[in-house]
Amino acid sequence: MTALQALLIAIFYYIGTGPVPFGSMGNWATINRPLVMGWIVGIILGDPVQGTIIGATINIIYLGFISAGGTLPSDSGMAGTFGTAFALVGGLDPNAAMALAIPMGALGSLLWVVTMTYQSFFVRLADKWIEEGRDDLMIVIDYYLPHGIKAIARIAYAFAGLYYGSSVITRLVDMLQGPILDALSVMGGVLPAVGIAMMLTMIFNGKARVFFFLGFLATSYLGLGTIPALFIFLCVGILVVGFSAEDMDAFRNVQTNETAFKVITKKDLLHGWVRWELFCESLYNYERMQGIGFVTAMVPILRKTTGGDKQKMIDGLKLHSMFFNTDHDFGGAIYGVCAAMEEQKALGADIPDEAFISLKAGLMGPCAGIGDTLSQVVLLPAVSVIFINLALQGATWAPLAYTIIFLAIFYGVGYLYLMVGYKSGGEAIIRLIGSNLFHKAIELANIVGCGVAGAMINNFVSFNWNVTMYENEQVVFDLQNDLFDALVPGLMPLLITLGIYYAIKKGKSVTLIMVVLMVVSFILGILGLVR
Amino acid sequence: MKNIVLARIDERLIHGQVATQWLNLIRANTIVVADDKIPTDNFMTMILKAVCPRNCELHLLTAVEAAEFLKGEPGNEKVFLVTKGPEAMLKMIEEGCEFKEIILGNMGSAAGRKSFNRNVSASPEEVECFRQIIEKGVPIYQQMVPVDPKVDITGFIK
Repeated sequence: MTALQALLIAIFYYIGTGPVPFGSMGNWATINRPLVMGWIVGIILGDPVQGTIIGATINIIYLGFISAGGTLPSDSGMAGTFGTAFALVGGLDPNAAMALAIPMGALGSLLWVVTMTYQSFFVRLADKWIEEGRDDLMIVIDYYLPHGIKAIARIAYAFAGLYYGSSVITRLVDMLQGPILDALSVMGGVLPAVGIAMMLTMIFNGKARVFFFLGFLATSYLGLGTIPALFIFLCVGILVVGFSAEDMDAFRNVQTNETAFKVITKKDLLHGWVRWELFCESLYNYERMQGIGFVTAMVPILRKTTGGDKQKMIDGLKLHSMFFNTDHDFGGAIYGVCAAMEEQKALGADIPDEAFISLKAGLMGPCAGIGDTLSQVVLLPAVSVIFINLALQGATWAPLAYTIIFLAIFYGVGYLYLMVGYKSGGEAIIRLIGSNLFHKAIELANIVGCGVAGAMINNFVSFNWNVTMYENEQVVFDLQNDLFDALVPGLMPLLITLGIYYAIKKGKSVTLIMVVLMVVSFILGILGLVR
Repeated sequence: MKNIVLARIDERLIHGQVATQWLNLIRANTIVVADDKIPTDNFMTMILKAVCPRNCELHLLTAVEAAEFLKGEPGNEKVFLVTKGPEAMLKMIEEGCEFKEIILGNMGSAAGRKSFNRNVSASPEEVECFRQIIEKGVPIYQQMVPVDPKVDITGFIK
């Protein structure tokens, strides 16, 4: 790897973790995914096809890892970047790359905690500037300052890690030929089970559980692929859930408030919304979470509604910089409600601060409850599964198509929520999160998710015993062929996946589970008991 | 006593982590929110009814009412019990409820609260509640999402 290549990869790694160009959630869900990052690394290192395949393979583990309420169990971006880069440089197969990527993901999640912690210090400075009514500096404290530091730090450590790490990896791979690399492949074959088990923790409940086994059996006996399984379960799920025309009611009976666009313009509203989507988590920290992001978004609104009154601006900035944390799309809706309320206040309505506080504090949790589920449990895995499958076959257009489709849906829905919030207020948002459409969509996603998770076991997890008995140099019994495959093909991957699921359910930490799984599969691989 | 599959203290009540990760994993079918203010707060009542998953029954009760409900005959309920802070939990224990353990989620920073770790801040009164709960033999663990390790909070409140 040349220094230029390492630098380019490091820059893209930083972009994936930053807010520009697709927004805090947009970048996280696209550039930062191993599927997309693998493709980018592949292009930079001159092998886009292999990069795409490796990235997609690593992405399977991270299908079920979501980031809710400021937690990041494992950093998929770091895993995808370093895993793909090292695998390409060292000429490793995708399975061995996966084994290499996991520790990188764990390291990344530690760095996330460090970032979230030190960024709390910027909040002091933000509060000082708020006290001085410096609305022009909100974007500086929310984005320019923290990201100036973050960009330099991330690009520096990623560059160093990639540049020096790749020569170490090349030497390591030369040293570790044969059994150790085989054992790494065995390890990589088992690891996708963690991703599937993590998916199950969010959906394996009620009658949807039957579909998990149905999905598994359909692939075991009929050899069904993952994408056909997805579409078949989608049809079955729609039948089971039973959608009706009334489910759209929450979107239809929307009343428009009469003060809309009397003080602010549509441009102001969209300006603040774009700020929200881009920068809501650019200064993510444990003390206020998205609080400073929210106030930054409110600045274009407050500039109009305070009419140049310094004290009103200070009060407004203080009010909107409180602790805030919710789903990105629904956050836009809450921003819309606040914009409308500020507008009504400017027109003379008596709206006390408590009304804003109770609205934001009351809505942010439940909005995240529905919003995180829709975006991270429904949308992200569904779109990912389709394009991961295509990418595994070497389709280099798949990561790009994934990015476009995800962003189109995410921002399309976000715009819809923004307008519902702005035009119809807090109660309309409550009707939205309580709507039949959303609750049925979640039920549908559980069924489809369980079915697809079952199908993924045979397509993505591999574990084959290498135990044979000989008589007169003839194989008389092959444990895998003669027992497991004869009974139910894929039985071991199924048992491993369910084992991981129950370990998580019993309260074991996922890091511990991964370490145990890696060690055991590595030992079985070295001993040649598994192929 | 009814079957309580998870007793949680979390200021945000039913939110992203609870909806995406806890409810399905513990397979709760009944959600009890024990809070003295919420039953008479129309706005919060409306929000919690909206967010409650359709496969769960929702009960919005005061701490005393919740204790009565939980002490009732066990049926098919698998209860997810959630309170905003430790006071309601302590109240229910004093009313005779038995909890195996309490999982502590988020309590945000606010005036008068000191932060223990990145997700939990508490006032001296709240710390006293934690202490009394632990003294009554109910361990409290900090754990945001099920895949995190459980951390005993005894160390924080000394």
